[in-house]
Amino acid sequence: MSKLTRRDFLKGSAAATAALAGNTLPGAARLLAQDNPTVDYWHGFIAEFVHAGFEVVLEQFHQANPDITINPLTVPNSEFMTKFTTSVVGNAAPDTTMAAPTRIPDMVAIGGLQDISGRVSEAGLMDAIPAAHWDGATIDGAIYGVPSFMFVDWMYYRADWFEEAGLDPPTTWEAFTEAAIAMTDPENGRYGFGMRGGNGGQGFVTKVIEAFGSPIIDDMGQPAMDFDKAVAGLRWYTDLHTEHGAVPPSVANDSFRQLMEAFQTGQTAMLWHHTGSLAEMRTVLGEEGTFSTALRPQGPEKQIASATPSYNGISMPGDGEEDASWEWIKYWSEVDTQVNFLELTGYFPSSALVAEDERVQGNPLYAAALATVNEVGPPTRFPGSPGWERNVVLPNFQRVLLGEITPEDAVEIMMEGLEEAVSG
Amino acid sequence: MQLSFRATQRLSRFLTAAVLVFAGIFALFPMVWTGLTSLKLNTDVITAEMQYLPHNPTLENYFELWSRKSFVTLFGNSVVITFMTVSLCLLVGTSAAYAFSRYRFTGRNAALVGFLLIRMFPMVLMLIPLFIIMRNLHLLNTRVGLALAYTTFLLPIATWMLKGFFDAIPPDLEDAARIDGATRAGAIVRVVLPLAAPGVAATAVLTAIAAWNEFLFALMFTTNEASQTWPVGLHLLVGEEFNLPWGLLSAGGMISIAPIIVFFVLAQKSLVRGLMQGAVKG
Repeated sequence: MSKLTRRDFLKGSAAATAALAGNTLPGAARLLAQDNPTVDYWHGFIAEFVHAGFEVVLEQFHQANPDITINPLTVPNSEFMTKFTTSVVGNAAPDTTMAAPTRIPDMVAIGGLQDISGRVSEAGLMDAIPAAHWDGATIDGAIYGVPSFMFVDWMYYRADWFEEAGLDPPTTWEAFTEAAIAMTDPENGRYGFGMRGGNGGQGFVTKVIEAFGSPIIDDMGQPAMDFDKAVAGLRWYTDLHTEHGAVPPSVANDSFRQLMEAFQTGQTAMLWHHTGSLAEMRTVLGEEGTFSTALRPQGPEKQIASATPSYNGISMPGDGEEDASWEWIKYWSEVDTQVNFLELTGYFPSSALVAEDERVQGNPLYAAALATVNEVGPPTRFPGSPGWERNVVLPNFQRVLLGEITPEDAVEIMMEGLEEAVSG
Repeated sequence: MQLSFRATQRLSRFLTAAVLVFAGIFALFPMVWTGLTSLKLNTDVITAEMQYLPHNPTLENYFELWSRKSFVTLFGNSVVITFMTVSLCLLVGTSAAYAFSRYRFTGRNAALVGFLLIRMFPMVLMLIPLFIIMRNLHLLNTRVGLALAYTTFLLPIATWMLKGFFDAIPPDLEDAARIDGATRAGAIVRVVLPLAAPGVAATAVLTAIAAWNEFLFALMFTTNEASQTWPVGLHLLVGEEFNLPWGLLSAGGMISIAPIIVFFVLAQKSLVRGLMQGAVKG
């Protein structure tokens, strides 16, 4: 038996570790070239068709700015803030990033976004993009992001079924109820409306309540729900299921995918969503004929809809990359970029100038979004609103759908929860 | 009516079998369903009437996944990183576990508890310190960096598991080898490790599963697509809300579990023996 000494053993271990590490250690650090800057960009374009649209924008930007290289990274929405926060604290944040309006206050608070008010003003972007669209990226008068596209609420409806029934898409809440009842035929597995009673349904409830004249909070950020109006809104909405049976019985568990697939497979006649799902609808149901888009109905006080911008901001650009970073996020606000992206993805432009573009005006599918985008604002947000909506609004809305409590009970609980959420 | 002893036994066996069959179906159904979905086109997945068996079985989803440019990179990165992590954990864990098992030194118990303590922290708490360390060492976006990061939370488990197996091997066997002229290291390699092989295999499989499936560190410590791993790629394939490619996703899921199943089959004999040893040891 040959002897294995301790020294041999340690040498072997060291050699094995070195072999594992071999060829995998990083090369020289990236050298920054000011003449040919590379701009990192974090985004959430995950779905295949959206990513394909993004690739086209990248290619077009490269053609227009051959000296600038964009280094994109897809970051899942659910992990975005964890990754972004870690990178900011570790001083390794990207040069530019996509930013949702709900996250911008936190991103600014940790020093992750730069004030770009001066550049926005110099480039004249305030004139091209409506003032309301800047609100979500403005904190204490400073602008931290350029609106790149919008998610505009609208309604999909089965154009073939409505034509068959001799009905027009409903424009008011009363007409909506009538249409939903008329389109319902449970024996043939058809329901008038695909209602979101599962995860995500909370946002629809607050919009309905507001459309019936009850604000959620006032200008000072204090609870301002009107009990009677909120009950009226919630009752109308839940009656579509509990009284009229015009939504699928699985409503309390129906989230986005269930609703999309129910609509696409001919189980529901109307569906509320926003412009972001247009490309999928086109892919599955074809360009026209089977389905169409319409404005969400008007409530007694206002339309049951909102328009949410997505922004691009400058985070931590390296030396010599500030101007290139600005060129990249400014490029997203240009009319051609926005219309091309719209054509490929359905993500609606933020620029007011696109209303005059023939590609937008000439497509009837966009008419509902064009009519909505400048009429409605972003959804109501306040510190604590995501938790209140998810933990108070949604479960009590579901309890009404299941017949466990009345709309009055639910609104009472929602108002108590709102007081707690606002008081922190 | 009172049942006879034999009838009671039969009933008991029947109920046991029924529970086991139910548990088996409950455990296997999601995997079978995923496998069946991976053989369907998306148009056969999204239908008004549920289709349990694919009407037109196809491998198109697997081919499409394979043809994507990032597939080989993601898969390759995961294989290499898992191999490096398992090697590191076994190499360092074996030495540490042996020392904890055989030597009595100052701070031994504190070190053992310290190893466990690391596991008690949520991984997310380790993100920022690890990120800063890795950034300063230029280890972000590298396979070595990810393997080291995985080792931070897998090494304690590996060490504790291996220590249990070393404890079960009588020190007298090593003493006999040393009387025959073996050095301490020689006795470990030639006597202890062969006896602990089932335990080492069990530890390797569990470490490999954890490293193969790890998502959070892989996402946080990489900032370009060339250095990402399979779980990250699969997560990005899932998308958020729009246009879920169910068939592709299911094919990706089946591919994810394939290497672990192959590894398990290869190490099955040792693994079961190792797990049984751990289970009955007291």
